[in-house]
Amino acid sequence: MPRTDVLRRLRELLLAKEPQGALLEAAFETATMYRRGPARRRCEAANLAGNFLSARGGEIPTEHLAAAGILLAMDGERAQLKPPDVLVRLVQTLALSMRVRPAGTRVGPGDQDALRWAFETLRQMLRGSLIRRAQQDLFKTSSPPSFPGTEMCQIIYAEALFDRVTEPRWPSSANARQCIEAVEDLYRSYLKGEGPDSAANATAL
Amino acid sequence: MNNEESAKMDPAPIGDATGPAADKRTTLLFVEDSPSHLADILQAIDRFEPTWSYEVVGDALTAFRWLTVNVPSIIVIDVMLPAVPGVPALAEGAYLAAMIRAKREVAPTWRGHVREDSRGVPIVFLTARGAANLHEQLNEIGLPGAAIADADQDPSEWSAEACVSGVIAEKSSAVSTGVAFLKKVLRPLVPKARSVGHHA
Repeated sequence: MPRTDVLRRLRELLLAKEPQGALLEAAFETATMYRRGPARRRCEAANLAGNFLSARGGEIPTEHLAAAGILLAMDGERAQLKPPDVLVRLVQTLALSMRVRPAGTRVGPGDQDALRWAFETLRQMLRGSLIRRAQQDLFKTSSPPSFPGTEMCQIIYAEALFDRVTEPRWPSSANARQCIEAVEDLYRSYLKGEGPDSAANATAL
Repeated sequence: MNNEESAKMDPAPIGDATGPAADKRTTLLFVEDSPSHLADILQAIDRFEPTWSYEVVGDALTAFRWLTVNVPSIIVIDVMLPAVPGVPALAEGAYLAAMIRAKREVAPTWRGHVREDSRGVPIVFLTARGAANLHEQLNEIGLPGAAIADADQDPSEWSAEACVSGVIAEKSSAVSTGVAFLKKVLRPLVPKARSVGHHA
């Protein structure tokens, strides 16, 4: 099918209220065709999905979210424009779709691979996005660059944030909360002039 | 979007945009807490500029956070937004623009900095309160000389101001409907975005 037809069909299916599996199948087909193809084609498909998510905002059906996640994953630059909360929804939906197939969708041999690939791609993107948020939240740009544990702490903090936003049972996850608190304490102590101790604490973490 | 307006456009075939954005990415940030107000504009972009990317955020803090990471080609701000800490009601959008232009301090409870290369990005204000009111408010907040977009004028008469203070588009005016907004406001600003060094 010519690529203009592929994109037109995807657009129509994204706008359909109940595509009954046809949208997800079309996303799989597109991913199979374009994933290792020319960058321009991947950008077009990802942009279509990215703009759809922006225009729709709030409530989006599971099939639409899963399809949009698969398409968006094909272009990292486009996906990076998405705020972390949108990436979280996509990652969660793709994780769910790997376990429970939306009604009406047939499963092709490469579909599970495409789902897993999109999930991992967006998951890594979310992690990067959360590290940037951690840099803003915990280590403002005015913070001392000499802080010895900075990079490690940012990663620890981001991982904890990642657990919090992707794990529905996070409130009971004492480890993640302790981890965030420990990093915050470490940073506060560093700011009070306990730099060398901070380094030791960072290693201990 | 009516048929007459559509017929006046130069539609780019899906996936083959040949407009000003064909060679580089064009990314728009819309800051609007009522997304339905943007439906016509977003539909026009989908139809006639399918290579453009857009993000829609509903409040100034989310926009601010987005701008700490990304540099858009154009920012479209609804002036009335959910409260910004310490900012008078009805001035939130103007204040956000002043923060982007580094004319005002970042709100006390916010963290991070808008990327420096966003300071000269074209800004369009959407307002339902009258352009004259907003013009005065922008003067007071440190963004004097904002232009007012007019459907009957050549965009070159006001588009230069978009990168300095901003351009005001009244929601009720002819220039703010979907296709007209794309043609008369957004498209003329894309080359301006390039000229201020935007690299999407």
